[in-house]
Amino acid sequence: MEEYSDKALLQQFEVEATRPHAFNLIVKKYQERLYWHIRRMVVDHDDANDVLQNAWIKVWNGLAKFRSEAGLYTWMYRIATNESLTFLNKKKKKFLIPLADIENQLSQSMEGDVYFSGDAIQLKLQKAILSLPEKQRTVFNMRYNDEMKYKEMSEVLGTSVGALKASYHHAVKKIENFISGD
Amino acid sequence: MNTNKENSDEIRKELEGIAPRLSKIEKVNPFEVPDGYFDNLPRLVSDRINEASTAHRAAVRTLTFRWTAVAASITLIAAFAYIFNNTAHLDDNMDLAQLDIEEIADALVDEGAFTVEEEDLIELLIMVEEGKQSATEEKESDTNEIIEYLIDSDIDLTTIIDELES
Repeated sequence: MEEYSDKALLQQFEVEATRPHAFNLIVKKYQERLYWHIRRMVVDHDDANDVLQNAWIKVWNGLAKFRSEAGLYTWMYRIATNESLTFLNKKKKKFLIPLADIENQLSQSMEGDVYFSGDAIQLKLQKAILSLPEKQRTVFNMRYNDEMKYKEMSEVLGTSVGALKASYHHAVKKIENFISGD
Repeated sequence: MNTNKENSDEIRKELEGIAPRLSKIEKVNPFEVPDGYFDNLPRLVSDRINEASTAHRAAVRTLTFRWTAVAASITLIAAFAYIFNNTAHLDDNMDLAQLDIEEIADALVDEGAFTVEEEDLIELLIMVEEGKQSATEEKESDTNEIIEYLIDSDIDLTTIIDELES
């Protein structure tokens, strides 16, 4: 499939007649990257699917007014991040789960998840990641898995580069300690 | 945005410096998706957007109707207050709480409430109708802005609709 530039897709989106087609192409271009980002945050596939679809609706509603200097993907990545964090907070409130226990629950659900194929080391690593506070986990995933630059992370999270470096450092140290245990 | 080699190397070196054990773990994606998930997703997204657009239009209609109903109720109350203020000739000893609507209407007719002020009443109703139309147009525009705000602010639209309809 021919892959259009973001600029070309946005130009097509501006024209009402080609808007649905352009949006479809945007979804196809970015759906996997956004899905994996969300999946790593919410863990469960069904939850990730719901969050991703909600994020795409937000993108559809906001795209006509999109004027970000940061770029289309950064903007969508920010929406996906916010949707994921909102989902996790709602889940805590809905099931009256104490803040510290949601990660335990996600960790347990991962063990029986048919869509988790990692070995013992991977399972331990994922549990270590889930033991991090939400924001720290987000920062870790962005840097470790998505290999984002601090500047890009700063644009997504609205946090200073210095604070992000510190947060990533703390997160990595905690994970190192977790996997070194036993 | 994603990796170029230079950035990957920088991240790897940074990780080796902080966490030697973690840096030795192979980076693999341990999660999977159902077969054909990404092939079907664009269509699912498209369906959801169409549903959301329908819900959005329904919410606008519902909110507009509610505002109109509130405006009409206030108008009705104001009209009754106006009539009662100008026809205070009922028997002072009459206990209104014990009368039904028909008895009150009979009493008003007997007292000439509608004959004396018919023209004023018609004029009032015309003014009310004109005001209602302009208020409805104004409210429809406001309502659209409210909906946009609620959607942008991540407030669950379906919950709002449920609340309004309950």
